[in-house]
Amino acid sequence: MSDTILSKVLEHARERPGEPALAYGDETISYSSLAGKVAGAAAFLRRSGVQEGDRVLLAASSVEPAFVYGYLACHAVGALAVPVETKIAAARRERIAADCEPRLSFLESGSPLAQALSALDVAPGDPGALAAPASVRADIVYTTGSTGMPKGVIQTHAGIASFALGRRDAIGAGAADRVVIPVPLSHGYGLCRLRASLFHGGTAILVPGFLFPRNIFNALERHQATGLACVPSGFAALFQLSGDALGAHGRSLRYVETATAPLHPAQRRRLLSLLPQARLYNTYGMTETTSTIAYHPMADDKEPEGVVGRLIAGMEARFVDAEGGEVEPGRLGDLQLRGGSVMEGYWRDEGRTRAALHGGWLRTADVGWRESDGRLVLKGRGDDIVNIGGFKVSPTEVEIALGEHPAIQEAACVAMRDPDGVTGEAIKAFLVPLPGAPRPSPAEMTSFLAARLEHHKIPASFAWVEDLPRGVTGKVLRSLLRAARLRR
Amino acid sequence: MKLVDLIRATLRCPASTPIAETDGPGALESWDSVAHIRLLAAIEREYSVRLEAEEFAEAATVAELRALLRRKGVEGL
Repeated sequence: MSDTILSKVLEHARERPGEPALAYGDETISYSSLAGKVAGAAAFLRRSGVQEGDRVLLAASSVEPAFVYGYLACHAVGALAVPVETKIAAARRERIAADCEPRLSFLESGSPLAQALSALDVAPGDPGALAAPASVRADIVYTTGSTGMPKGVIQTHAGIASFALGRRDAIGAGAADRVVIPVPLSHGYGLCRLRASLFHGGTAILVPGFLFPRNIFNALERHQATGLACVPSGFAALFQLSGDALGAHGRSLRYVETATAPLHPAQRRRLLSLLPQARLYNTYGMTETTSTIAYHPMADDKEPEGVVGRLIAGMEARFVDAEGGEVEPGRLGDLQLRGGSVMEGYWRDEGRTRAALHGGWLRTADVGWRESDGRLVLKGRGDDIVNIGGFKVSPTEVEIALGEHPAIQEAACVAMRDPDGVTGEAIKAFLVPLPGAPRPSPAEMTSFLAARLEHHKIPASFAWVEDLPRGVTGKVLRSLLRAARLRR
Repeated sequence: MKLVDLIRATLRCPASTPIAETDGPGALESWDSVAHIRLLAAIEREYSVRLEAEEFAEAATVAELRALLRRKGVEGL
């Protein structure tokens, strides 16, 4: 059995007990304390009836260390951890709970999140009593399906180890690494930085988001951080709320990672100029590959758009044509991936698993090509998913919510460029009114949707149309709506 | 547009959502970093003012934001 995060944390607790594993604000938690806390939380889970193979829903808090105790305690008892957003919408929470049927849930509901998670923050137990998990499966991480229904991606201990080792080899982040993580831990990108840091014995410095840049700057300076995990919308927030202050506060940084959406060339230039001592890495990955599987060091602003770089060790890529045949380097094709980081499959969904995995190859929705030097270049997606600041949103989910409005006969949603230039893409909704019904204002539509969807899924723009363009099968042609939007 | 209405519209929250003078970034679920920089852009557009990143970031409540805008000569907030 390969190493797991838990077996590595126990090893670090024995060999380097006083080294900081986690940092939150002014507080740090050593590997020795972490191991004790995990043992206490694991004993609590067992007493509560959690058994091997059970699922446990956890609000992935960047503020409460109890999330990490509970997360690793799940691994200790062989249960699957299901980390979800701290502010999860009721409808999504219900769908996920119905799908994975958790034995226990530690989520905010009626009472503050700290209270919900406090059951996992108990007196330390004996780390010696913790065994390395015998189970293959580690977590279920939910992502957005094209129908809007959440898909549970089964991630394995081997996949997590493959990512942690690949990332270390690609960017050199090992035991001496101190990485600031202001991105959500419910998302594979943030969660995997935490996992990799604990795996190698580094320090994961958790900060809840980009709203207060001072918190990020304090974290960078207090811990002389060597790494920063960021996203383009996070850089936009840092620049707009604090100007160029990152340059002065980030002098200890050795690397900066960006993911989830293309980095705007102006942001890239600004980062390279503000942090000349740090390597800036564009990265690529998805929940189905556990996390990042390709790294690209961005050297200057002359390189072409869309380069995501080279694969980490243990991963293979191929680009295929419509018939499934592999295309030559430089030729456009659909990206498929194979290797140690690929998911086991979708939770209780054999149909989707069969559609996604074929002979070990994962069919991604991304389109691009391989350069002659082996680097991967991506040019877009082959489906309708909208990428809003790194959050993948299914237009279908928004259309279903819009269809519940009494004045709307039907709706179709497409991606538009974010008018404020913050999240890359945003959603534009085309609405067909019910005959005779009064047309609600955009503010009224927004209020209506706010009760049904997470706020980032609410369209930035609404347009009334007489009907929607359809193909011969009756399916709405979103591509024509996108084209109509571009002409306006 | 009144400041609180502009905040509600930018945060995409229902018109009935109460917004207190002591509320500020982080106070409401939707008042995150993305919403906050959208608010900066919306305020500059709506009131034809230019705000520096530092002075906007220092305004921690609606009342402080109102005071900042008054100093910039914006009336009828």
